[in-house]
Amino acid sequence: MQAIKVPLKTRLARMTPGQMIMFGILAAIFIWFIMACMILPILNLLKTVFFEGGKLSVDAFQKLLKSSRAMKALRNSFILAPTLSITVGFVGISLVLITEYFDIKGSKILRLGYLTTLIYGGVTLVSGYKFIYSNTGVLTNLMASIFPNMNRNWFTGYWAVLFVMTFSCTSNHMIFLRNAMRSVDFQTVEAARNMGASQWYILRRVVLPVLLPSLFAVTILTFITGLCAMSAPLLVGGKDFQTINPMIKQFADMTTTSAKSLSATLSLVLGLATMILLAILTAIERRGHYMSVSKVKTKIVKQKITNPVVNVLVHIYAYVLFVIYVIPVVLIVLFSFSDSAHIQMRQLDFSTFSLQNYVQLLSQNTAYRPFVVSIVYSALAAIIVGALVIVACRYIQKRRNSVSATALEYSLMLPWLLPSTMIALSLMLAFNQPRWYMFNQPLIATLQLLLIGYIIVKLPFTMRMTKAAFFGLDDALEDASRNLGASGLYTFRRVIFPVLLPTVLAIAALNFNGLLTDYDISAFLHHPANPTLGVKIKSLTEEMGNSSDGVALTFVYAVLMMIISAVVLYLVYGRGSRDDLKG
Amino acid sequence: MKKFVSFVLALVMLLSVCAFAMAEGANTKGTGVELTVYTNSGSSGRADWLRERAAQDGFKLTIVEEGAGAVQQRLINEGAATPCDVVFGLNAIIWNDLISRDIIAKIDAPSWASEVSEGLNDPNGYYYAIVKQAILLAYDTNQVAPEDAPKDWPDLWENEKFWTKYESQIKLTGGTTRNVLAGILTRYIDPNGELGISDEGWAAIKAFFAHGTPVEDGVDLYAQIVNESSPVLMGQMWSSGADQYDEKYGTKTGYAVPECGIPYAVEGVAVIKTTKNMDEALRFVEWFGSAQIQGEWSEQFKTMPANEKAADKAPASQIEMCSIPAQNIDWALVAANIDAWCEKIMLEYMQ
Repeated sequence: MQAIKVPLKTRLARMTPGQMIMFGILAAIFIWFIMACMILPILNLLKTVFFEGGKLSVDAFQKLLKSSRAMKALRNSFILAPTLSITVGFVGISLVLITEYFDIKGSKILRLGYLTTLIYGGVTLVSGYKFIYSNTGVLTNLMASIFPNMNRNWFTGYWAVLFVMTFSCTSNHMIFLRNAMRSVDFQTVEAARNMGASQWYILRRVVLPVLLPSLFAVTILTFITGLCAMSAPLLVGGKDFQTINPMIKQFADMTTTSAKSLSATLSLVLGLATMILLAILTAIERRGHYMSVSKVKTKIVKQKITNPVVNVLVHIYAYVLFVIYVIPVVLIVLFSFSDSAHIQMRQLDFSTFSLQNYVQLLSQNTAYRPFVVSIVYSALAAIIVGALVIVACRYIQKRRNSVSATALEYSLMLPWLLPSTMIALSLMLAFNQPRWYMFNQPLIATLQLLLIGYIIVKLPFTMRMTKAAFFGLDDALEDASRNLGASGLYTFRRVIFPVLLPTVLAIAALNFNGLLTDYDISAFLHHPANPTLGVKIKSLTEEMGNSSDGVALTFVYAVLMMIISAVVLYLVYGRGSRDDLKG
Repeated sequence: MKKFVSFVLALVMLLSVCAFAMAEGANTKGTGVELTVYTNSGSSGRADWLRERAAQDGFKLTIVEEGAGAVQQRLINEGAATPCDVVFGLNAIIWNDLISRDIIAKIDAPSWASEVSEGLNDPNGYYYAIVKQAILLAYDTNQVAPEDAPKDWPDLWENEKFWTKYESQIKLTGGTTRNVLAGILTRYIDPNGELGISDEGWAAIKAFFAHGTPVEDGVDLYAQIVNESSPVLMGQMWSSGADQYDEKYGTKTGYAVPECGIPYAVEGVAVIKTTKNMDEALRFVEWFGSAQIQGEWSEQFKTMPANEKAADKAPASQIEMCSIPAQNIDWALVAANIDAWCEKIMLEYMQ
């Protein structure tokens, strides 16, 4: 704390009283939120987990080291994360080049196909892939009719997991890398070409450097996604390729302290790996300044691939990717009209098609309420997180390298250290009694508890991506505004924020879509009278439930959610594109 | 003669108590004080049905429906701040855990308690049974003839012909799974063994997991049974599920009838200690467990009521499955150890 105070003095001296009050209020809000809602609850949880009876317990480490299964799962996670970063990076970059850089026939349709990962994920997505590749899948049936002796269970293990995740984790590339691609200056590309540079050379030396900051940011996200892989290994990993996160989740779901300590230990290992990676990449990011040199940017003109053979190959590649992306979604929509048994047997039988699932779901008088609850919570959380992080990033940007900025940045990344189940638990444990730092109000069964949970889990992602956007800003813009006499706030409001807006909105939309189906946080924190969609959907497949149509109904929910997500993305993305065009 | 008279008197008393109880159960009305009810048994319209049915009799319910584990966690971690008044559903393992954590109130037996099959209510008066689910080792008789089928769980790992033919679980947090594990492990109780289980018991569990085909997440047992590319032919199932899946997949469920009996997942109803609406909560328990309401519930949702007076409302298949004797299991012991057992299995034996 001492280190923060000293530079503040000089800053405060330069402020007007109004600025000082605002700065004070903001600082108070941040310090209170970070301490009361994150650090103290997490410390409280770690204390109950690791210091049972006042003594540090290292049992968890010993048990885990002894468990070959845990070690193997941990190893698998650490194999998956880097390899996935490479494959997703490759596919992600090629998607952006296909849709934004090269002149490919039908690129608008292709783009829609590649964007499908934004509207669904998790179990639904992997189920979609299984309709095609699993032992009764469409492709397997087709191949088995040609090679009757083939092993029908071919789609399992490391390669299957890598395949599914490679194509399902490109969402961030499609948004953030695409935004970056739009700031490539066409004049530089032209100049390079006039000087005789080949297409490949231009791509490597002109285009790629502009993409690098965003590529760093999305690669971190991919790495974390790989480390925390859950649905794909569970559904297609088979015996040989299980990862650590399902184990973490299960230990967290158990009620004993000893299971919780196993969960916390494992997640701290993952969290630590994430933090180390973050620190390394942040250091690299700080060293280099990758911005494009051009001050008067010209919109890119799509490049025709000059080599005809390469051109044909790239077209084929683009459409193969399209098919890989689109078929799972199509199958999910189709199967949502079928019944549970055929969904589970993965048999597409049009005679079973009916609107019954939709009627059953929408005619329940309690069916619509979870939609409203989830939409309101997700929207509120997305907006609040966005606002908090913008303010934080502005502070970090202006006070780069100061202790307070670094502390703020890492505090907001803190939730990456623990799985969301544990975050939810930490909030419950902290606020099931009056705490002075929460104004002596227990928060159990209040409406705001879930909102706090949602905000916390979305902080790190929002922080990382918004920060990347801030780093991508052209300093000249701010300097120009200042030189013309604009105040700091005015500059921010009228110059910086509009430039950031497309990215900020995209992040908010992603957060909204992610929270819409959340189960882990909602399960523990939702208000008794207001269950969220995730909770409602989960209850459909609860064992001993009476529903024989539970699985079919989850597909209907999935389709409805895809529609909501698509609408939200359209509103945000359409808007973002228009702004770009204006600029 | 004396004996006869006292017998008749006892009979008369019993009958009158029963008659009174029946009348009372169905006639108990709510006063409209709002109750918050947690349950894992609210899906597929049950929560809606209950809310409306209860409203007819003057109860105003807010029903929170979640998985059994989530209900348990919620109650534990919400502590004294919990808004919950009444819980129903769950199973004996969770009930005993909640009792040991001092979350459940000990209440006077509702009038219908005596109508419940013996051994299902909590002997100490914390929870009272409403629905019972037989936990079966199920197979499809179209594919496995009863004489070729396993007779008891140990057959699965002891007899080589069943290897890879049965499902082994990949998540140990489900109620059915935990009941199966409890049913197996409690056969090997040994106070000197690791976690109270003999080496023989751990060897059995190790073999159980080693020779099974792991569950494919998101695909139910019966989908695997009818899938020709899957080796799976049998696995764990709860009794009301067996009927539903048969209807869905065209299978015909057969099940093992072990000599030692089978575990039952007993859904019950209990009042939370910290409730601020104790009187209304007790009225609700009295109303909910009555033969009248349990009979309606059973007709509606095809489950086996614990209340014998409502038993005839259940489907014949349920009555048959639930007539298998209950295995003698010390649920308090299971509740105290099941997490540690599952932890060991997850770390050491699971595939």
